Amino acid sequence: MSKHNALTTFGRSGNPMLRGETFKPDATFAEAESSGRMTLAGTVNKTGILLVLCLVTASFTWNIFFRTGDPAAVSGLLWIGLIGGLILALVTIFKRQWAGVTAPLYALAEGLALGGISAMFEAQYPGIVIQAMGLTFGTLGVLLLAYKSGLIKPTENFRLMIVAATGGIALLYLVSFVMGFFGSSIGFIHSNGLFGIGFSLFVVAIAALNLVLDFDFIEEAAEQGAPKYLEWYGAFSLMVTLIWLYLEILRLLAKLRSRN
Amino acid sequence: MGWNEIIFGGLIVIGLGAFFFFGRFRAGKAQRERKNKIRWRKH
Repeated sequence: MSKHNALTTFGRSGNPMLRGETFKPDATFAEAESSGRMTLAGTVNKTGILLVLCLVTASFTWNIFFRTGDPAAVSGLLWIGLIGGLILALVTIFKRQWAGVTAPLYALAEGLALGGISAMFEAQYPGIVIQAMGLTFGTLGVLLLAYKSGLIKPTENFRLMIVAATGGIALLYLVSFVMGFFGSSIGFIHSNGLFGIGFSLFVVAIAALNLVLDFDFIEEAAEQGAPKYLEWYGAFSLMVTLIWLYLEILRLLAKLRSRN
Repeated sequence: MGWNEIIFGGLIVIGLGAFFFFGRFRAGKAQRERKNKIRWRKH
């Protein structure tokens, strides 16, 4: 498969939120004259707002879980967060102009889910959540510095590699999810053996490298003077990657702890 | 507060601090002015 055929097949970015068309110079660029231009500072500020919103609802479900000690008490909110988050993410991807509204709602919904999931992991492995958060934000900071300094230089081939790997992981998870309905699963994905841990490490690495694509996209969009609402969209795409990275690190740490 | 909270709490503060501080600045010349950049607008 040639490089360009592969790009067509797998999409243009490892992160489905970041397609090339997102800031093609169309009518939205003309709108930017009046509504203002996207800036890096604006995107960073909006990412901060989304993180705070996510933390607020996460604390809510977290507290409910530890007050009741009953997973059933948060399972409703958890599913509302997961399904609501998925719907809001799809709306944001297809209606980028609405990102100013849908991205904060997405962060709130994901917070509900993350708070419940994190509390369940914390109850089983005390101290695991702060470890996962530390490693997630540590990775964010280190990769940002590596990107800004030019240590990591994303190229078309780099993007192709991340796209292919992300697509492969998504497919594997989907197959495993469907197999679950028939009482079966792809064993190594969830196992705490060496192969399972190796798989988790690989997924964490791919999720982390998706951050580099996000940085590059945001940098380029700001450089090209994309419309202001893309600040929300850029922040949303960073949130999607950060949430994925956090969950994968949480799973990896849980696998390691369950071996003791 | 144990070592777990100090070490990983510190990582959270440093990581977020780096993001909110350095995220506001443009990437260095080595990153911006190279020939093999991803051509986001082209795709």
